[in-house]
Amino acid sequence: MTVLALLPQVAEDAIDVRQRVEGLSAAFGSLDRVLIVALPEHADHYRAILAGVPVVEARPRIGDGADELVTCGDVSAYLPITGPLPAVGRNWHLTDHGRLIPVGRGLDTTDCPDLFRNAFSARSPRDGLLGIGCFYYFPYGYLYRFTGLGHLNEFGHRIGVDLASLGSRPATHRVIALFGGSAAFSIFCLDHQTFAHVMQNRLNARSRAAGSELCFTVLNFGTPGAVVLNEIQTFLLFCDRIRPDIVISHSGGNDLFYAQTSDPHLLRDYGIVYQDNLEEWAERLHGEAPAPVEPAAQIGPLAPLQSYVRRIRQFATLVQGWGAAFIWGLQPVFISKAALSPKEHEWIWTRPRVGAPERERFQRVAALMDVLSNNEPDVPAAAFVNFHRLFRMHGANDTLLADVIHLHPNGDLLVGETYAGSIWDMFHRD
Amino acid sequence: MEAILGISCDFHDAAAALVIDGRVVAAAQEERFSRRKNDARLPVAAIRFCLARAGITASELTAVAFYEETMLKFDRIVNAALAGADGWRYFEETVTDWHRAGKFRVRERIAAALGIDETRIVNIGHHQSHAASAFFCSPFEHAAVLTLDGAGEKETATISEGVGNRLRKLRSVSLPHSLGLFYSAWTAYLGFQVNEGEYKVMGMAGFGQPRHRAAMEALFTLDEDGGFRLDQNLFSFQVPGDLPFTLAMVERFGSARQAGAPFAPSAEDLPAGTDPARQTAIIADSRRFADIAASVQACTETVILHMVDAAVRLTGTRSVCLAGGVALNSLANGRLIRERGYELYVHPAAGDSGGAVGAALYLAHQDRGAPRTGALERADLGIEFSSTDIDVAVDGSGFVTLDTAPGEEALLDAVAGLLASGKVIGWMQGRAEWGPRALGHRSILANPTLPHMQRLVNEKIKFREPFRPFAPAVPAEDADRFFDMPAVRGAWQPEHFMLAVHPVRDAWRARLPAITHVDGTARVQAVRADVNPRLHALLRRFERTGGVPVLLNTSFNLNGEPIVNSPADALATFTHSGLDALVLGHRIVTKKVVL
Repeated sequence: MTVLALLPQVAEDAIDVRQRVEGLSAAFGSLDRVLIVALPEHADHYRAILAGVPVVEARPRIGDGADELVTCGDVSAYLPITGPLPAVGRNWHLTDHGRLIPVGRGLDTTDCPDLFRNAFSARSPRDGLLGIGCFYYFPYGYLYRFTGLGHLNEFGHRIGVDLASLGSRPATHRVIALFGGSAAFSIFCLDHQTFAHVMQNRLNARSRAAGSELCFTVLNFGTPGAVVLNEIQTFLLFCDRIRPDIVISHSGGNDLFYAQTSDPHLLRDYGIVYQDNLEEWAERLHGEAPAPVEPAAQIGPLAPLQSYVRRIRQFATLVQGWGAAFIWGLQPVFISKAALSPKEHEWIWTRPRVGAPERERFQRVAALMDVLSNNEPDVPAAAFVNFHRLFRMHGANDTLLADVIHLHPNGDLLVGETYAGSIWDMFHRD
Repeated sequence: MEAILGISCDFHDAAAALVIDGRVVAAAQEERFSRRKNDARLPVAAIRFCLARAGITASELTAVAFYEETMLKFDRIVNAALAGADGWRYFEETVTDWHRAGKFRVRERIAAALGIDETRIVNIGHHQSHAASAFFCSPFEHAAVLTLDGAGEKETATISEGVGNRLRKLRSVSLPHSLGLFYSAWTAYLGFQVNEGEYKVMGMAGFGQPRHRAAMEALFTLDEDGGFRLDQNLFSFQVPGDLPFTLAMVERFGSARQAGAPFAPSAEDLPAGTDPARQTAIIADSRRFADIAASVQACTETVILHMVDAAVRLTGTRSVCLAGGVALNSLANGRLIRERGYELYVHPAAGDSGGAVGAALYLAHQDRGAPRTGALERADLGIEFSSTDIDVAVDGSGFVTLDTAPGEEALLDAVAGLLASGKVIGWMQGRAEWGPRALGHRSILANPTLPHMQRLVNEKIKFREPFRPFAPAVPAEDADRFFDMPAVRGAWQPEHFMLAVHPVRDAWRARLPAITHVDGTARVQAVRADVNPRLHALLRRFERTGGVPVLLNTSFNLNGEPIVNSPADALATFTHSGLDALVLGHRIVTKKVVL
């Protein structure tokens, strides 16, 4: 045994604790070298939930010999039973969505093997919360590193393949480049749960079943916080040699959310939308009091939507010009569903993962998505997949959301299968 | 010309009002302009609007009346702090807050904002302002005038006699005995925001039985002269802590309700997706809280009726004027009308914003002897936008408008048709309303005969609690056909300002499900053809297509936001809500867009 993992000291729901154990399994390759421990009064509860997973009861000195320690928050109830927890080489905090966060140390190359691969990643923050999830400076766009869920490359993308090698692939090898924000990145999913991964698996399985020679690779360029303008920049930077066959923009949430706080003049006259923190960065970089700003330009309430559609159209045209097919996916938000499941209700309203002001902004996002859905614009896209509408078919029996804008692995599964179906149909049609 | 500007600000609901030669010509709450709910700051935008509306400058003002005696209020706080157990902390926090916010220098701030000399600013007492807002806007030459709120400087309630252009205070109740704070404390206990959630308590009361009425009434000692004393054991009014109630309340009535907790007094009220394991507990808790709300409401009505009855005895007149936040308790107002048969006038902005009107009227009539000018019969005292303003906003919005034939008839036909087909409409016409009620100038209108409409408007349009009731708008001449109430006569009566609740007549309850509250009542708005001709005509037109001359009427805003003021506000709310169409003047805006 090398990893000691203490389950929550309260009797947690099945949906949360299963995801924690998924996270453990993904992080350590399997559960073979992980000792999963529960308080005696909760052991049977966890055994029932985690069928097939060995759960042992806490006992004195249970941590002896452990190399690594994983906890899920407060462990004070364990200490009277176990005694002091072992001083191990590595400590981790395991979240209820299976994310493994280093405790008491900064990020290093065991967490992110490519951490020092380029000058900007090497200079990015590595300590504390900033290290594990942060925007970092990159002169050619917007990068965000979100660790603890699986592999990240030097740009914070969940991409494990050598991009350069894809430039000279055979015609039967189809590459799908996925762009979007944190929903495309899938910040509540482990690598194997992301819809990018699901899509790739489903397409390859279908291809094999059909006896086709086609094989598919999905590249996830999803970057938490990214708007379509950032997607275009990322596309230009990384896709010129790859020349993907299909480009997906799984978007809407960030563009419509951040447009509400972007400079009205930049939004109205140039369709420029940017993240909340960027104005503050300008102040910090230049170290001066902000210059007097012109009174806010008067903009109509549809300006965020008009700007989003303008950028989508631009992206689609660009992709089309490069000879690829463009798929526009309008992502769902919490109001998209007909009704929330008990667990979704908890994550959104009772124990919200997103604050009330942001939730209200996302209510406006949903209203704009309704307008968009009822007035579908003319975009040179091979397909328009409207998840805002598709999620309306799901009610209280389906837990698809993890918060107001992000999906639970069940939601990613649905999205991945839907995209795979659309793409398969496209190839089948051709 | 004598032009007096009234101002209320610094605590909640800042407002400005302009009185010229004894007549209110403009009044508006600052929140409508700043878009900050309950904005308490110096109402600079509202002042600017009032002056512009009258076409005068600040230099032409005869005087400015501020609705409170600032230092008297501070004196009360000092005395309470010296006497209270945690007084020093309260004193320190208050002084810091007052200093930072400039509350000690309110006259100086007003003078600077207006560019006038400070000597032209007069302080009028808080309850005097309330009393003046009620009596001088009423049609009565002689009336019993009651003010009831949380607290002014020291007083929490007064009884005055109004005769001609004079008010004479007869009785008063002072802190800590406060009916308004009693209601607010229970508002907080029931998980709602104080000074904002009191309507929700009234709505919740309809679901419960007043099982604790006797226990709550026992907290009050009602004096023969109309006053009362309130047992302070359950409350924390003098030196406010985090909560206005004490642990004794929790020990006696059980745990307080968490803000945002689901409210479902029956299984069919449970939100979709409620955890099955929690359903029984949620229903039991909801019933307990509904019973408490019903008891609070019943007890409040008892105290109000006691005070009004005493005031009537003291003054010898059955004409009654009410103001102060408690006067917005429309359930109590309905009982005063139906059960006591009093002639009742309630100022449409009875809360603290109304102090702006009252202070100006007090100065005009009581201090400067201006003659009375007749009753305030309309609440559209706010800002108005021209058809050009509307065209610019609509044409720049990107929304497609519905083409109708020119003229009033075509507009009304189109809107009535939309309403009859179940569409929910934003309706912005003329000047904005004064007071918290939307009366057909900044309203959301819907078909009240459709059973799903109440839930739809609450959840998909306004994003608020599903249990909250909606009001009906009905032609004044038809009101008593649908509702159990005396026929309305003068345009000053509370029903014109949506300030009285009456039972829906049995025959209509099932036919008007979206405006009939669970207890069979409705907060009626009687619409007169001479006061709001377009809304009146729309009701008549809807009668032809929808079968009844009744529409669901609720304020044009989203939960937690001020009511819309401008076409831009209306278009933004239209965009961000589930509204189907928006009528701005003569323009009908649809949700169609060319993207």
